[in-house]
Amino acid sequence: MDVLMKLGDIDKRVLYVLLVLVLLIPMVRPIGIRISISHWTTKAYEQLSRLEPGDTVICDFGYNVDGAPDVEPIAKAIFRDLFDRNIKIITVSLNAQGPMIAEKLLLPYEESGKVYGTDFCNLGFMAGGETALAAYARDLKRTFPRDWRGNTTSTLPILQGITGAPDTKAWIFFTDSSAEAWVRQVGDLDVPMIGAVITVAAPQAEPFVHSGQLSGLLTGLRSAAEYEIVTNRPGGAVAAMDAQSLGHILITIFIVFGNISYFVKRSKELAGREGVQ
Amino acid sequence: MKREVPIIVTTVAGIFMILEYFHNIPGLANGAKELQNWAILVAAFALALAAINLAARHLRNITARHQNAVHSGLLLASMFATVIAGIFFGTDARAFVFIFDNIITPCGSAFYAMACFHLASAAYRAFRAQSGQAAALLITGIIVMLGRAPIGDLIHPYLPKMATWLMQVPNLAGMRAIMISSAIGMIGVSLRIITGIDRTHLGMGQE
Amino acid sequence: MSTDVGIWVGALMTIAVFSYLFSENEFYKAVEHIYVGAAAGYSIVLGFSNVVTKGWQPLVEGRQFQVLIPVAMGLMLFAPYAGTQYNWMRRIPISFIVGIGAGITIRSVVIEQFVKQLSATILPFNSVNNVIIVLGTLAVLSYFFFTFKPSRALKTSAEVGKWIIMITFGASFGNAVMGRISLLIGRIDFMFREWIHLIKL
Repeated sequence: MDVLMKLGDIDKRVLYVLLVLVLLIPMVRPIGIRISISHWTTKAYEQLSRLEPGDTVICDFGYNVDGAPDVEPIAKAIFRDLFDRNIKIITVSLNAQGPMIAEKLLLPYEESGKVYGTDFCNLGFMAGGETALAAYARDLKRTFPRDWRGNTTSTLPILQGITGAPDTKAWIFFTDSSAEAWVRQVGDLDVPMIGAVITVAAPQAEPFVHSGQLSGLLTGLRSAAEYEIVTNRPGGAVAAMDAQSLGHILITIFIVFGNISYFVKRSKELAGREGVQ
Repeated sequence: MKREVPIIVTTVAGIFMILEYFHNIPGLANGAKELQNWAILVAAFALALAAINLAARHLRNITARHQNAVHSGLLLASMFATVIAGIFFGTDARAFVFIFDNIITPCGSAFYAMACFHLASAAYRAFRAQSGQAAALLITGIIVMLGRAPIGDLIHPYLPKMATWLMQVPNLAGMRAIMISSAIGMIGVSLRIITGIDRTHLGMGQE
Repeated sequence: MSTDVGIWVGALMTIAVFSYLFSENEFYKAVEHIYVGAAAGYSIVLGFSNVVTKGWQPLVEGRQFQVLIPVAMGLMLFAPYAGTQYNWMRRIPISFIVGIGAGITIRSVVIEQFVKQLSATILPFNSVNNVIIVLGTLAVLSYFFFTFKPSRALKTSAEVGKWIIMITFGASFGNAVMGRISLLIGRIDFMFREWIHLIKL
């Protein structure tokens, strides 16, 4: 009985060290747990696989570095897939840190031969939150007279013939908050929208997938791993999935231990009270 | 006049944006785009304002020889270094990129990741099935947690299916109701602002 | 181990932040302030860059004098620094931003978040899932009625709604754990792959 009660008294620092070890060990020595593909990823992949070479998509960076470990792997997997299929990418940023993040992700493709201004461009960030989003979704060049690198946007070949979102083939947003701003401001424009959201925001985005306002939904590292698999390019997200699994097991064990201890203590207290009476 | 002008500005700007959206009046769309671009420009000033307010506060800490003066000094030093690197040398300058990559990125990620430890600790200490509803929350949480991880398949092939069902059916119903409710709330708040009933954003309270 | 100065700085910053888990200390406090300063500085740089792109360049290069209006409003935000008697000036740009924001929000919320979500809830009762979605949504909505005294039927419905909300929060908790673990994996990956080179794969 005492042992069961003590299950709830483990020092929090022990929990922290255990958590780090449980995540680290499978990263050093992977187990290789099979990753199944969810319907969410299949739906998003099917939507993106309809794009033809030469099509242009807008990728909106709505996350900061804080949430990057969960969202960025999706951006990496999608960029790899789209660039491999010669699809053109215009990046815009709802968040202030977006342009720096986008620039870093685009750099390897520029080094491998993709041409700035023709195959891709980084328009940067505009202050104003949803007001800015509503503005650039309808008129990119007017909202961004210059791109992140200082070029006049009206001279960029990739933007010729493109005014706003309806002139592109898809709007993909990456965010560490909820999908609502994009659904509100881009939802009425005639363009398929795919959300790549931080895992925490996945439940909130579900109604938009059901209503068809989002054509696809990718959520966090798990979706990134699945996307890497469906595109046959396993990378960092796949490698992290063993750690993810063991982390979940450990948290479940914590919850079970805590509850066992709680119920044992409670039954003992109740028994004690009955004894006094 | 000092009270009325801001309220009139809010009302006119708000009504203009609504009219432009629902009515196809020539010139209105162009006007709305222009107003949005003005708002972006004003918001850009506001972005810097918040940081300048922060700097002013920490400057006061230093001049008053507050006990946190050293920390305030560090804050101001890193702020000025970032501003100088970004404004005078450009956002592609090595110094600015270094600050972003090696200070802002690791610290931001670490602060956010720290929540994982707190969550683990809270799950262990506070996540108790004290009632039927708390048990429903706990069991759903565990099923979703295990079912969404690759190991869910190994534990039981039904676990991922249950997690998906929980996300797509009861969670959908709950989230949709929350979303509809928040939409009603947002419509109400926006209307109160546009009609001048709610003036809290101007520091004037409600009437 | 890495020989890159940047990686070392990032790793030490990470250790400093995580040291808070054991106790608050000077190393943590110093890094916290450095981070806040750098992030605030970053905001100033981005704000300045936007002002140059949207204000200065159109005005000087494009002779678009109408830009003077938002520039004047932007400067009004700083008016209180000239003296408290100018505090009122700040209200004009704020009222403008809020007015535009409220207008933009209301017009899209009505359709995208209210009408479309309501219409997506009108489903045929041809499956158990559809029944749960429709009745569950209504039950949760009934739980949010606070403006009048609930009838017995409404109370029952609200009770069902409470159960649905608990399941919803459970799903949110599961996803929150998943997301936070991903974030920690990101930091561990940085520390043990890029800094210590322990993770080789």
